Amino acid sequence: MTAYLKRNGAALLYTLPAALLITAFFITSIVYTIYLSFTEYSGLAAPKWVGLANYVAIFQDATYITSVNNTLIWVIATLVLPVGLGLMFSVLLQNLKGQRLFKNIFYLPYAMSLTVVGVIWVFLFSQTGINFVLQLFGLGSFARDWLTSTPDNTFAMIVASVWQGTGTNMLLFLIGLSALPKEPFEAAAIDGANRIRTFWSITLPLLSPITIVVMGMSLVNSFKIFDIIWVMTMGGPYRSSETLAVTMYRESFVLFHFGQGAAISIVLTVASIAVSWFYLRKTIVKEG
Amino acid sequence: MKRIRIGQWVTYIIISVLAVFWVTPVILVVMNASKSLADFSSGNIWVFPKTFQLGLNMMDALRMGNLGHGLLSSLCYGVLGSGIAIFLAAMAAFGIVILRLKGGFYWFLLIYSGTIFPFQMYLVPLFKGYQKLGLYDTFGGMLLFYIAIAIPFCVFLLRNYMTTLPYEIVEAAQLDGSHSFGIFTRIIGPLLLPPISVLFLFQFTWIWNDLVFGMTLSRSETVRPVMAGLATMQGIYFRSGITTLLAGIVLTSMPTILLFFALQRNFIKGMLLTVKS
Repeated sequence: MTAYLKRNGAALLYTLPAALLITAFFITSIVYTIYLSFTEYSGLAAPKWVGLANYVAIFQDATYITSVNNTLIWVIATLVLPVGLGLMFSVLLQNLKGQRLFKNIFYLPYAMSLTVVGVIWVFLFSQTGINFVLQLFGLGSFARDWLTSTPDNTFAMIVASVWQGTGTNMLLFLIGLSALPKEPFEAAAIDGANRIRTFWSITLPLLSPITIVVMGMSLVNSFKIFDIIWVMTMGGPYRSSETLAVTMYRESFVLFHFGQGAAISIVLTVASIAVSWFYLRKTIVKEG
Repeated sequence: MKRIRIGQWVTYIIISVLAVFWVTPVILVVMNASKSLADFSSGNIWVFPKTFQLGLNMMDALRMGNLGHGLLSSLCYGVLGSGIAIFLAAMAAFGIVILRLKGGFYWFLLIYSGTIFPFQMYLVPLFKGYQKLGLYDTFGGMLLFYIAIAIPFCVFLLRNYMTTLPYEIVEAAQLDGSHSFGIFTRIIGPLLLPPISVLFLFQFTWIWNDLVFGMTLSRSETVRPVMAGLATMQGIYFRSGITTLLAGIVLTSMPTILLFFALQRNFIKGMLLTVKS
């Protein structure tokens, strides 16, 4: 120990401030949250040990089951829509004149915060917004109170999130596309393959490293979706559009069920780490 | 040849339709943020404004919606928070990479672990801890949190970047008798400018856009960051002052939109760095 300090004293001096801050803020928090998840704690009396009760509740209580289901809907939707659309936009825009203008338009929502995006879409889903256009086109039967009927509210919020998140995926795919080798495409052109055929059998396979990264990033983010929902519905009505992150917040800071909130955070953590393992493995383990 | 032309036209048509869909919400926000409340209530959101008072509505949002405080606080959090975080992270990376801290990889993992867990893990402990230590709802407490949350990613990027620097520069400086802090500030520091500009953009935007920690760790209008303020304002203003609310949206989005488009190149470079690693 002292030998280590003697040889590394100077280096340690540089590294410690950051390491100490991280330990104080986050490592300690993780330990405390794990402990809380096994307790019942309202913030007033001392935490009371309840074993696995909070975890069992997540899979039995109807409110939490709805929340788990909504989270899964969000995960699947964000995995398919912003990634798929981002890929489509990038392929359409590749080698197109005026690419810059279109790129900026699709990218613009990403330069706004999720809070702002949420407010914008509450405004668009209000009575004189999207419903008005539906009625204009004779589709009045589709008009509804988008944010107060289930499950439409979840789909409406997914639309908002797709609007915000597609641009950045498009940008990543465009970078990936511009780095692809030219030869396979020339060969395909000589063979007379059309654009759709070329896309499926050449572009897509060559692009798969980028696709994996983009999907991984979307996946990690989709588990934690909070801001848009909090702004647009607050998880309501009657907690019908909550995801795990929103349920966690409500349990902890509205209902003061800190133990239950902690257990939900742990489930969220385990799920997101398990599913994104392949992504993390790419970023960390190869350096070990 | 003709087929390719038709294909191009089809592409243009598809992409233009999509672009119209994408840009319409933004246009509608700006249009309605410019209306007077009477003008807004008399029509629907698709009608072109008869009045033009975007500036006036913005002033309303600043004063009555109290967004002014939030904007100022978030500007401080964003600039100071990312600045200090980058400095501390550069120091940590310097210790690990240049001074070759033994077991440096494990120190790195310790710091980097801060990015792996969902933020929900930190909310309650930080809230409780902040209350106990008197940091809850204080400027210093908010700033300290933003510094801490920004550090892991900065260390990650700067550590990667430093490993690509030629080590001979450091050896030469050591032969000249430079002290480690001199090497850090005068030799390594200037070389770090490219990744630092990227990091600053990333972290400033993150802090500016943060909602959940602002909501959790602060309450008063003087401390609360801008997005938490906007979320509160939404609850109050959606029915009674929607044009003010929309002007508030334009106002709070301006800084990040300007940053993104002014520094777009850096941003793409930054995304490349993250994706490659």
